[in-house]
Amino acid sequence: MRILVAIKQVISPDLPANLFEIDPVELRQRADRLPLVASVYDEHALEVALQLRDRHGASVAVVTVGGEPAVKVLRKALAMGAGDAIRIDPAGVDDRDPAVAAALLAEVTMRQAAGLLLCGCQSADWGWEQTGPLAAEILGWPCVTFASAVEQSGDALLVTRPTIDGREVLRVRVPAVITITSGEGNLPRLAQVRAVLHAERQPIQVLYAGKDLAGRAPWPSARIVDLCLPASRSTCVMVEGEGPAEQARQLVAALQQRRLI
Amino acid sequence: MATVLALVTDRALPPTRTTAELLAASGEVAMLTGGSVAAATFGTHAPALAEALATCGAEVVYAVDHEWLDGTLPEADLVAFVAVSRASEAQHILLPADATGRNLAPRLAVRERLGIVTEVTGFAYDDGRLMARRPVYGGKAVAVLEVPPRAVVTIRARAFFPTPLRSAGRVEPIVVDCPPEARTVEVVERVREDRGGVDLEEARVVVAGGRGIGGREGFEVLNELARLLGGAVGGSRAATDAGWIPQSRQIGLTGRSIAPELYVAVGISGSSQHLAGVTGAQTIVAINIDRAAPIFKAAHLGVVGDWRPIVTGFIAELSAREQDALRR
Repeated sequence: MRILVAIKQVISPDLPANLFEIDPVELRQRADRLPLVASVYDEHALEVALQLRDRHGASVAVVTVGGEPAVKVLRKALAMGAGDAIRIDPAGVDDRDPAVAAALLAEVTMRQAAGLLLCGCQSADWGWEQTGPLAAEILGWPCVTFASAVEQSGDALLVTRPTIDGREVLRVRVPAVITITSGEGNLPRLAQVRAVLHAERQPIQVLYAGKDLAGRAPWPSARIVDLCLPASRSTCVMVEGEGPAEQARQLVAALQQRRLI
Repeated sequence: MATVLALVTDRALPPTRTTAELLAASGEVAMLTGGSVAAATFGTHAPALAEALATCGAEVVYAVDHEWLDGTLPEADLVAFVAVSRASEAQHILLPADATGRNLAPRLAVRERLGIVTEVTGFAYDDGRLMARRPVYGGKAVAVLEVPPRAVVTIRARAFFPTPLRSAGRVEPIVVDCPPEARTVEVVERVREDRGGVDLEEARVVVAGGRGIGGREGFEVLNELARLLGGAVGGSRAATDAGWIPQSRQIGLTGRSIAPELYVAVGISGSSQHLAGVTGAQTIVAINIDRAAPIFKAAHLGVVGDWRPIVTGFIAELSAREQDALRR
């Protein structure tokens, strides 16, 4: 089976809040020279794909929708063990719109004759949670969202999904789209130094949205009309005290005063 | 004709808080756009649940009463959603941003050529256009989106306050054929890992641990603290990914959204992904060794120091009070 894993490059979400700035014209986070990383759940999705390949045999390709700098996440994915990589250049389409990304991914999935499309359950930037399910519907494939593990069982997949009080296992017929959340069993593997060096030399296929791929969705998009910082919270009262026992006493006193205990 | 359709994904009776919040959000959209609310229930309990909802605000409640809609065939749910959406001719279709809504809402939108807006925390009406607010960038920013005139919308847990609605509506049964493709995905096993304990969403007090807790054993200490406070225990993504606490207990953007009176965050740095799940908490207490941790920006009460002796002291104080109460 051919597995396609969608990876998105985002501005590192772990930067201190004071570095977060909004571009009021573009209505997106100002990127100036901030570090770019792979969106966290996408790397968990790649790990799930690589485990499937290791256990059952498959070919794993990674695909991203992004400009030239996005090559970095593809190279990292190749170093982790992906077989080949595709960059879809979004020039001319609104890459904030999940419908555009979904339409592009669905087209590439068909061209690659993939039987399984994996992506993160949500991106670290906009977090729409839509790309996977939208792509599934364009492809006419079934979809499971927020899964943490995928196993092959005959010609079907057994997909584990955390639930409110535990987990459930779903039998899924392929072809299918599955979105991945993080879990104990899918922490992204580290790349070996030799693999990193090798990945630098591997070719990356580039396709252009609007030319090689249509990237159009036949349903209305929700327009982003404003982007602002959330209302600030109350200031924190620090509980002081000589040593932890005294701090604990002061904390209990403060909670009692607020009638919380 | 109804303009807002609430797709009730919980099958439990009496209606859950999630369902009450969904109806509250639907009522708000109907009020803003000048329409009325319809709801739909699914599965073998659908008629009984529909009766319950008809007295809490919905003008008409569609009941799709089929065994194959009892929650083991998610693709079949989508077929039923399409049928109800057509029957209702609704302009806006609302679902909770739960496991079902996250999977099926975007797909319903594609199938019916509707717009899609997810994880909404508030609505507004501006110059004839419905606007939706939702957190983006892991909670570091808020986006306002123009909801297309016909659209599917999912609403975030604990963002809408359940309001009692009084008008009584009618129940309308709908019959749907189960197509063969509805069996492409089937739940074959359900495992309950969380036995006993207080439910995170309903808890008055929640104690949670993060990377700073260091291991499974540390959560035993938090369990004891939660027991004394009469609360539930959860964890940040770091803690659930490490397997120190079941994944179903993750609090945050990709986990559960909680709204307790008191939230005690221990050894949690406070990433925006975590904070997005605790916006509903009334009072946040943070215990962390790093004075510069972002959790202190969100907290109301902060204690800086090694968590273990502080929590041990906290437990000792609470146990002493419990003993006192027993003696009296």
